[in-house]
Amino acid sequence: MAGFTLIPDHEMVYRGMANASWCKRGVVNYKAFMLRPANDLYPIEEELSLGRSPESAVDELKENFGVGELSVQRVHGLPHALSVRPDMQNISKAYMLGVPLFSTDQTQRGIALAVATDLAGLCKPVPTTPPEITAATT
Amino acid sequence: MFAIEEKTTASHRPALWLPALLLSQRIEHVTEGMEADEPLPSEATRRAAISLIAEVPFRLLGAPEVSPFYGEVHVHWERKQKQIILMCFPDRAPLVHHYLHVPGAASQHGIESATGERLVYWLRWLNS
Repeated sequence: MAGFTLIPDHEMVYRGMANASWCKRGVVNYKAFMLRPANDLYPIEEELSLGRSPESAVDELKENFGVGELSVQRVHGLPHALSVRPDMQNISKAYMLGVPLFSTDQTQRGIALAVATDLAGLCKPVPTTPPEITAATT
Repeated sequence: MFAIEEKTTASHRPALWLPALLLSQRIEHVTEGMEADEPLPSEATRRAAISLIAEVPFRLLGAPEVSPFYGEVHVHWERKQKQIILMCFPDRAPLVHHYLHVPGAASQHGIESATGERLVYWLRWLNS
């Protein structure tokens, strides 16, 4: 659940790449910022999940294909009334509100693609800290 | 192995050149690597994408990304500040979205029905 305060503009937030098609050849694309439709398992996605560190961006993903970094200031500076808010239930997480919902309506889809492409243009892939590796004993 | 000559078939559709054939094969196999909870693009949806690609001249095809998107097929071209996305849907006509990033200003974009002619128009714009 998102809180009602904004994350300060000087902070960075992180988007976990949950799908291989979201980032190709080191370039994040629009699909990383498209909300998903409802299905049998989940309701329609209404917010974009983010982490406040690279590690927290992927810690709930079954599999990930990297992490992208976003400047909160630059997200708030886009002309789309987006807001990046802290998750009050988990201080390591954040949410982006204002991203257009999934729709196949022509106009709505066009807006969603433009917003998602603007966000992708701000998103830079960053390395994540690899999990601690226990030295194998021989 | 592949026929790489330009000819017109009985249906007056140009035969696929090798780059278009390879792209068509990527569209045909777009379901590989999908998430379990994501619906597969149907054969009809994939065929719609292949049919539109077949109308694009070889020199404009480039090397787009092909990916599924919740039952849709997306074919996505990027060049410098420009982007084109062809979207084929399970139950409606395809759309093409064009996007221009303008540094320091709001991006410019539009969306319209995707026909072979309009796709060619926008791919020419992408490469201009």
